This record gives sequence, structure tokens and C-alpha cells, in this order.
Amino acid sequence: MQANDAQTLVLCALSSGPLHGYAINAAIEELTGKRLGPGSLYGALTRLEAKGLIESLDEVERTRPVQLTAKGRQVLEQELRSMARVAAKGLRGLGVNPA
Amino acid sequence: MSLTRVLLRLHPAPFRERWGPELEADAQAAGRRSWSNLLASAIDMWLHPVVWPAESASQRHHRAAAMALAVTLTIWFIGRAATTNDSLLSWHAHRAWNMADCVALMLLGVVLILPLPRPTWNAVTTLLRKSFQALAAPAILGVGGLLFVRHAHPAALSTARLLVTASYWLTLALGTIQVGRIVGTISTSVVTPPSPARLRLGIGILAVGGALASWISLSSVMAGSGFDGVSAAAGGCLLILTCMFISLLRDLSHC
Repeated sequence: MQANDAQTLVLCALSSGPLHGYAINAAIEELTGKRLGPGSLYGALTRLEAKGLIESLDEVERTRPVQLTAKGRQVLEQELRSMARVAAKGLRGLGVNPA
Repeated sequence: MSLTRVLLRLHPAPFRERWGPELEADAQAAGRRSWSNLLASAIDMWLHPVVWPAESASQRHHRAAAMALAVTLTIWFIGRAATTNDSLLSWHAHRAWNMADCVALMLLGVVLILPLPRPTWNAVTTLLRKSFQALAAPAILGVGGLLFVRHAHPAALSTARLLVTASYWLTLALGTIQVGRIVGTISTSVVTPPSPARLRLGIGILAVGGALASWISLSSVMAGSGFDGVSAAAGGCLLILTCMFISLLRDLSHC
């Protein structure tokens, strides 16, 4: 899985609300059928935090949940809309109704 | 200590401080399946110090400057080693660009990226003390080698030629590493990191210098009689290192 895919998946997992690392991976597994490796997950979290797309909340039982920032929500929405346009065009090309 | 713990400890300290307990719990749960992923992420983190958890933007800039300097010193070291015995790559070979030109260009880049000491007595003395402590060993090694070469009997010199050569390269390598460590570990209370614009310009110039150096090396591969392995190896390494400058610029633009 490419780095950008991992970051997008983490952002998607956080779209419903704050989660800690293990829960993010569980959400990704529910979405894609596969978990991220621990190095990939926390590498993606590190990059997203550096870009200002996620932020930490107070520590809860040795874990620190993270949530999307306003910028993170905006970037995720743009990314998903872009992916939706690509998916719709591809499906129409295949003769499948995108809806 | 389990291999999982060893692989976790390979990650940079800021990363471990930020994510350590959670990362360790996830890695232990995943077991040996996580080993290759942990190794890859450790290497990845060390290649991208700008994205490490940081307290401020200036800390990220400081790390970028330290990384750029480390790459530059490595390029210099490889260039030095390659030009020592290869006349095609010699410093002042007759060509439009030579290695001496690349060094001059990269020196300009280094001047732009270097953090500057804060204008306080404490900052200057701390910097001097750290530099003295870090460079004492390579300085002693270098001076010792010079004295031996100057004053030793020719017969002794001939016998110890390999030792002298090894000592020379060890001095250069140690000095290179220590200079990088001084810049990388000095506190931001002692130095002012470069401004974002100066940092980007400096890294850009370093990238151009590195690209030129790799081009000179690679263009010398078939220039003489037959295949020049030294030029090929040096050129390949310099090209990879130059890509790290580009990666640094990309990380800076994202953070």
C-alpha cells in the first residue's frame, strides 16, 4: 500500500470521530478487509499530524486519540470527491450505472 | 530484548516518544508479521526527519538543515574518495564543469542552510565547547597522522602505508560524522534555524550541486578506455543522495 493510500484510509477512518491507533486500524480493516502494518499506520499518523490534518486529544489509558482538524476535513472531502469523480467515470466507461 | 523491541528502538526518538506505547502494543499483537513493516517504517522515518513530531515549525527547519548538511557531507566524502585515484574525476579536469565547481556551489548552499549562533555569550561558548568535544578525536587522529608522515623514516612510512591511508580516511569519516552531529544535536536555544525561504533556496542549490556532481561522475563512466567502475559507483551514489534533497524540499512544502 502506498503512503498516500494509508494516509487517505486513516483520514476516512477518522471521519466519524476521534479514534486511537488500534481502533483506526480496526476501522480500516472493516473498510478494506486488511489492516495496515503498525509501522505504516503510525508513519501515516505522523505525516498527517505534520501536515496539520489531524490533532491529538488528551491521553486516555496510555493511548492518545486523534481527530481530524478543520483542514483535515476539507482535504478529505476534496480527496473523496476527486476519487468519486474518477470512480463514476470509470464505471460509466464500463457501462455500469455509477449510482 | 525481543526483535520487535529492537525494531521499535530503531525508530527516531521523537517518533517513539509520541507513539511508542501504542506502536509497541500493535506490533506485539501483530507478532513477527510486523517485523518487515517496522524495519521499513524505521528507515522511512530516518529519511524524513521533517515529519517527525515537533514542538514548532523552527524545530522542523532545524532538522531539515541538519539532514541537508548530513547529505552534503556524505556527497563530499564520496566525491573525495572517487576523485582521489580517478584522473577523469580530478578536481580540475578540463571540462565545462568539474568537481571543484560543484564543491563551490554546494558550499554556497551550506552557508544558506546552516543555523546561525544566537548573538549571546552563552550560545557562542556552548557552540565552541560542543565543537571542541566533537572534533577533538578526529583532530588528534589527523594531526597524529600528519606528524607521522612528516617525521617518520621513509622505511617506516613505506611499511605503514596502509595504516596511514586508513587513518586518513578514518579521520575524514569521523570528522564528517561529527560535524553533522554538532548541527543535528545543537539546541535551538543556542542557534537560530534558517528561515524557510533561505532553507529552501539553500537545499535547492545543494540539489543542483549534487546533480552536477553525479552528472560529472556518470559522464566519465565510458569517457576513458573501457568501463570506469569508480565513476559509475560514485555517480550512482551521488544521484541517490541528490534525490534526498528533493525529498526534503517536498516534506518542507507539505509541513
